[in-house]
Amino acid sequence: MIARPPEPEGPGGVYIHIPFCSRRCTYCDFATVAGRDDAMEPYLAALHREIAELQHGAPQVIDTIFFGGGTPSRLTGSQIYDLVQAVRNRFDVLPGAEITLESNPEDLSAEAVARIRDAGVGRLTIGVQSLDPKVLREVGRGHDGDRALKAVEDARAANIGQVAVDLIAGLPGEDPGGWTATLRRLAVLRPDHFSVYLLETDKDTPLTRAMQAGRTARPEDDDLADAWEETTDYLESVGYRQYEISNFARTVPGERDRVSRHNLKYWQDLPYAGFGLGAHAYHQGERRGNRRDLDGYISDLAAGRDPVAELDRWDPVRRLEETLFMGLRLREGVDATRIGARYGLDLQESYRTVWENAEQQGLLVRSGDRIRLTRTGRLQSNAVFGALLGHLPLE
Amino acid sequence: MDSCLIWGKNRDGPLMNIRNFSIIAHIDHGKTTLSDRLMEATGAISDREKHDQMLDTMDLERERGITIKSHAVTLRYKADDGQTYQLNLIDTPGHVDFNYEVSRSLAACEGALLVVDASQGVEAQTLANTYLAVDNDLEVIPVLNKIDLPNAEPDRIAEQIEEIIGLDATHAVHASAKAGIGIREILEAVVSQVPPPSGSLDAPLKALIFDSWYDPYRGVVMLVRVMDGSLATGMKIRLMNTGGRYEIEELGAFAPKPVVRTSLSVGEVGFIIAGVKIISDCQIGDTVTSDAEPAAEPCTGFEEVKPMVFAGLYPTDADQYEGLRDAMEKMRLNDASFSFEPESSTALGFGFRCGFLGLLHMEIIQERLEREFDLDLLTTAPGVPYQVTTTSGEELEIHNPSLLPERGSIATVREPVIDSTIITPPEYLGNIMKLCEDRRGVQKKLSYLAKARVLLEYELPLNEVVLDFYDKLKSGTRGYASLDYRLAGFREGPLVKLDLLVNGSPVDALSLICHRDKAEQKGRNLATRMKELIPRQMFEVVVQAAIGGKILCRETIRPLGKNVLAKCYGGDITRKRKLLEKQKEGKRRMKRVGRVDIPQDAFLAILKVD
Repeated sequence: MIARPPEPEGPGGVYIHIPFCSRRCTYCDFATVAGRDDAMEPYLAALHREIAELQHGAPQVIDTIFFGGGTPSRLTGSQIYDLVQAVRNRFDVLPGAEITLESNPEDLSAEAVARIRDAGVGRLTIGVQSLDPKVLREVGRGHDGDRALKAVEDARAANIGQVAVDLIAGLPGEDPGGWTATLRRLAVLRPDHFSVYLLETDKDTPLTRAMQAGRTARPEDDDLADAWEETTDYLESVGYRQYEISNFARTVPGERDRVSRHNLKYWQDLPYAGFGLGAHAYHQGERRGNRRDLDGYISDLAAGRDPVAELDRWDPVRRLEETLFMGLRLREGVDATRIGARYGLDLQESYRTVWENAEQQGLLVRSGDRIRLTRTGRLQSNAVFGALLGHLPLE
Repeated sequence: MDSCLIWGKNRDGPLMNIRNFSIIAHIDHGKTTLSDRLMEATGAISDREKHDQMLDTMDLERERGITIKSHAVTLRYKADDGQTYQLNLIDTPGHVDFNYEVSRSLAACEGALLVVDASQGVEAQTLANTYLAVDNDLEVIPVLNKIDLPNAEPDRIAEQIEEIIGLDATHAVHASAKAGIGIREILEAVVSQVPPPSGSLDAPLKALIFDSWYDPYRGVVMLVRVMDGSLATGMKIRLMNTGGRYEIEELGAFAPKPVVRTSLSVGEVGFIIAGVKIISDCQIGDTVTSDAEPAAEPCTGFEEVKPMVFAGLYPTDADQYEGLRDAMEKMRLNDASFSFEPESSTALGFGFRCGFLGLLHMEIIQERLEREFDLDLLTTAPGVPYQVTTTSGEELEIHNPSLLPERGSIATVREPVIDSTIITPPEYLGNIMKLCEDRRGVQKKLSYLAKARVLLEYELPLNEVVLDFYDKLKSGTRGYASLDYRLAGFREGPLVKLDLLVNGSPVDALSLICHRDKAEQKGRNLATRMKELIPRQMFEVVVQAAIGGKILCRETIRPLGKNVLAKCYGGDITRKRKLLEKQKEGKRRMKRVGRVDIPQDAFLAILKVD
């Protein structure tokens, strides 16, 4: 296998984390803070310093910027604009770059969306999660279903470019009828993109603790599988293509599908910088993650220190395994010849037994250079991914 | 030579100033603390050396608070009569599994302290060992311990001792080992009541081995009591039952640290190192004699100890097989009652079928293997040996249920049965009788020992006892009942093999032998339990219980609904990777039968079903 990290196959991306929230949702385990708006200014100062001075290995040429959170819609238009400029000052941002910002419905109005748009954002994702009022109350969201629908309409009306909605299946209080209604009522508004997550109950969150204590019912695996099946069937029937296990892009004849170009970097082994609290980055074959405590992050940068907390050094086998399990999440799967050439091995041959076993179980198909999961394989993908890990000895 | 061990000859000869005794007590009744106090009071250990529970040297013994191996300490005591005595305190194991060792330790003594908790009263184990002491003609001195506790009732307990054991307890010593009360009185009672050893210095050498262990530097160390004659360094000896011949390299006594001497004479207790390499060459109960001038007869009571509980021990990781073998060989050096032979299982791979004295012994061995040799082990449900006569007249002993011959070729099966003694407050009689009847017990005796103490005797099949009988007994009596048992022999019975099938293939490690009338219910419960324990797989899994070719029941485990990481972005990759690795490790630790992955706990399911 190759000794040094392969060259990236295209432009990179930049992720910027805005941890501030008005309240904490019970299912969330991201690096977020509620009630710390006092720290907004010093945090932004730290963020600017990190963007300007750190992560020297990050790709110079980029074509996506992603503001994630937390709740980036809590930023003012000029704060967003300044951060975009900071990225432009440091990186070569290609024309037509995708600039995405995550938002909560309660922060959005026609004027608010216009300000976000004018700051340079061309893609707005809205954290709807559910339209069921019972569910929204239960998990501590700050909006109801109507507010969420209104936010999508406002975003559309403001002509922000692309509007995406994020949903979570399996939240407490949800029933199959409510989930169907959520999908249908949103789909008629024709957002460009749906991200649909199945609730994860392995993280340390207030919700998981409530489930462990028996205060809240844990979603049944079968119900989650049903929700995934229903979502896939329904969204595909109304003009969305499932291009990744939990992502659906609107297809428009004669145009490119409305995929998340930034998220594709993660699935296609492309490099990205990651700035801000708990932000992760991948460049020069290394994965790194920043510390997750707000004050520590701010003081690190005040002192000019790199706030890195996790570092996973270059290892060709680990990176190859990740390239495979991330790439196989895509509907199109992976190109065995190209990845094999990048990492310096015969992918078909080296993982032959993995592919064959998965094929026998109906989880995977190989045709020519391409290896991809079947629909069943997508729902059972961990069986294939698990088999990939450790199949080759680590170098 | 340590001065404290030189004994001036006095008018009555050397034997008159020796007292050999042990302590009989129920677990938690304070034996170990009392031993420590006796050592302190006689100066054998100073305050500086004081370490709680001196005699229990193994970590495990200290943690579990029970003695697993015997020990012997030589104490020097200046009594009120002005004379100095050599007191040999022989500590005995405190569990029914080690009855034979207890009996040999008692055979090395002339007296015993019967230590009874002044608030708890007499328990079954104490009773059994006291009978053993009385059978060995030991002078038994009752000691009422923990008299300083507010709920102590020394008079009532003394009465109980008289009623139950038939011992005169009017002069029982009132003591509190913890508080240091009554320690001198105990020592005086030992000197005045325990008879000095008998035997002759001029007779041919006869020394009883009452314990032995393997020292990695010195080989086997034997603990002996000289019954006749004397032992000296350089002497050629013979072990009368095994026939081995050795030369004494070193001998001495523990005080409690080892003190090397040149000889051990009649009546004395000490250790011998004689170049014995394997513990099984030097069995407990054997007799050491002079090779040149052997005794006519060995000490009586020698028995070859036979394991009565068998279980498969498998490395959870197949790579540890060789390591497990080495560890077991080392373990066997130190424990002649532990046996093992290689076996293979389609479900579990390569491992060993191991024999133990009982369940506690099994747990101890397993724990020591894991702890001292850093192994990760899977133990199959324990079972008992079965004696099978085939239709062609062949006699087999079956240690692994999956090896029981086909029903058609079996003429008879015999299973081990025990005589058990249970002592309980009367309010739990109903629970106990129901438990014993459920376990195919036959009542032999029911008698009131005292107003609040009932003695029950049941004959029970050992296989009904090995799994969870003791736990059930304790929970059914709020911990008040105590149990002791002895092997009574083998009895023929209508025993069948119950198989568990997973997707049509029998899982050998889950086969069990049980009574015909119980097989169906057990099979159903086991299949239900397996359904709970086997995780859903990519395909449907069918679990069945069967006797011979007859299927008793069927449970279905539906295929997995989903096995997917809900979302995965840049920040998740490392975490998801860990999650996948954890999932994979979990799967790797499972055992595969056909295509079905079975978690390790499932192999212990037999323990949990009725």
